[in-house]
Amino acid sequence: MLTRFHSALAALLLSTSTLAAQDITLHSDIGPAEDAEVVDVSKYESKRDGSYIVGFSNVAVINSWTAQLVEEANYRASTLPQIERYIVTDANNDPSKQVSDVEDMLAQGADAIVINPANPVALVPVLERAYEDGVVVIVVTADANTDKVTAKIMADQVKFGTDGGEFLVDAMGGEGNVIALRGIAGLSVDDDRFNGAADVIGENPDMEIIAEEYASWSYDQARQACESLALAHPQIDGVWSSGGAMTQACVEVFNEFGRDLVPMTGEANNGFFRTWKENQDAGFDSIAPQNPTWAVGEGIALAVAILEGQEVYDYYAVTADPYTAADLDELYRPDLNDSYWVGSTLPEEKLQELFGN
Amino acid sequence: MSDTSQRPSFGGLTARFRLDARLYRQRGAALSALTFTIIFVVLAVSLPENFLTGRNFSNLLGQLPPLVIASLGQTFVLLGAGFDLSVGSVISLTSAILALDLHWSMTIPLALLAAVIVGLVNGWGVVKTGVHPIIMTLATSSIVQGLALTLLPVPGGVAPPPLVAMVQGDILGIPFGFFWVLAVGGIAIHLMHATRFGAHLYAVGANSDSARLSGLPDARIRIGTYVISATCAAIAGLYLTARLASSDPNVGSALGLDSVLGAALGGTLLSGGIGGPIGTFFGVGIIGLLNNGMNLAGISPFYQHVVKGTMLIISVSLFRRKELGL
Repeated sequence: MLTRFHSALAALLLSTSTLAAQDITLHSDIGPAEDAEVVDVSKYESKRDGSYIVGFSNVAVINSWTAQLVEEANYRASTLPQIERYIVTDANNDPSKQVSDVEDMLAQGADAIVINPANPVALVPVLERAYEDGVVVIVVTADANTDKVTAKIMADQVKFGTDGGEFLVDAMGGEGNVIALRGIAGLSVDDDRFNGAADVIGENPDMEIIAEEYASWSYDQARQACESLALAHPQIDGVWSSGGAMTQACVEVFNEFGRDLVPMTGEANNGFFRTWKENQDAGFDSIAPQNPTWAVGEGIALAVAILEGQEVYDYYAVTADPYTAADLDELYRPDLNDSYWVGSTLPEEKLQELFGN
Repeated sequence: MSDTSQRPSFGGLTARFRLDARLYRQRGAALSALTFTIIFVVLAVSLPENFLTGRNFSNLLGQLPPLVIASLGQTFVLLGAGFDLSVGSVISLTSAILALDLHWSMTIPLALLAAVIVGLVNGWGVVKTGVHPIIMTLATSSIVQGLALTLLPVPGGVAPPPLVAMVQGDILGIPFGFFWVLAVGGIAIHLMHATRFGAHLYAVGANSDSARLSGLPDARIRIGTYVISATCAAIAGLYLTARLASSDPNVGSALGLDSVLGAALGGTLLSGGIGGPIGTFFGVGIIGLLNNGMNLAGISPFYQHVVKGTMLIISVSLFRRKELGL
């Protein structure tokens, strides 16, 4: 099982990293982005003493995905013996509080700051200041509009969209009507995902996105959105969704309306996997692009690697492939609840503690 | 002779009564200052290497001005027995207006003008149509937030360079934010304690009906508090936008309720008539020290919400409504 493999990998890291000379290995599902350059680690030589203060400035815990993200980050930090002190803050979605959080970390002498910024612009001044002061700054999962940071790890949200779009083209034979369930208007994550899907679908003249609705990635809003879309459009041949919980809702709406299930895109989440599996007999097929919860954890590992003087790159992209029906039996965890995000690096006992039924 | 000898003593009595009343109204500030001092000492003793550093104090002085300024405005509204939930949205609207494709010499006055209009509408709604302050300002808050998002759907823009220069920087290690607080705080204290408006506001807040019957311009004073609050919110919005060097249509959302918290922790009663701007400084100081101290101590960020809420309950329950009217 992949999860077992991951926990074995984590255990291996734990045992090997205690040997000071051992390099830190990053997750195999991230790799240097196209024009990534090697980080000039000589800049941080003065800090290199094998004992570091590392801060993670989190934007907010607003759903199960962000909750797991923080758990994975905390766990990854605990596996790195070079971290003398690990600081986590939560900005409650408030950019000005996040600036203060970072300032507080700098006041505590943080050697590295890992951050998922509240928005692309507000954190730029404080991050640039930290970078110029010689602090390792790693931006993860959400971008900041500056190059004055040490490194970035970004999930490719366009790929999330194209993965789903390609699946729909394939499953629908290149023709038919698609409805789109979107996240939150104005958020780049949602725009990137949708544009990725729309580009792929747009290449097929017989396919059309006939309607789109925003449902905040949430199950209950998506139920309403899917109900009204299903009532308004008698001919729906495929559903593109920006998130798994929304797909779950739409599958249920189709079932309640007695309509034949059509191909719908999902996400690598246990709740969605349950719905997928339960409806496989009814001919339901999907695809589950990944938006890894372990990305911030890897940011922390990358920060320590840089402080230790390892050769790493300044830009990593998440290259995780989407899961398909072939992965479903292996990855679905009936013993864990709907909130579990598949592809975790957390050890089994932690998973049971957090998500056990 | 006896008349003239009695007059000063009678006048002295009145003066003493006035002084007592003033002290009585401000007693929350004393308690607040005490709490502030205790938290300060605890942090200084327990976290000397992180808390008692120049960098940390300069951080705090840079972080707190928006909340101090917004809370000072809120203090006026609360003293007049009102409530202003639209503070956060006005801050966000200010930020959104600064991102408009106009020169800053246009956008800054425009933002302040917009705030004054919001304040007038709030005041008019509460005083003239009798809508409850929470409902009235909740409604305007929603409208103003919608406008902010219409003007600027996603964060962006570049803050006016002169404004950034007035916020990001320091004189001899004292961040510019301190001087913003000094300026707005000075005006607030002057308004409250050295003008007729301030004296009348206490009377109106303690008992609006009797104040009106004694011939005080009750409506004008209460509308005025909403205009002051909105203007303070706009100033806080200018500061925040410059601090973040960019605009964000949601930047004020957390500050709306925190401004009430700051005033309440400073001893201003939510039922009006008791409290004042001096206490608000300490109230906001308490919030700042708690956030900063818990960050420095590595306490889980979730507890910070729990502690803030608990502090509010304690502070409000220390002063009961029945003591009012003195």
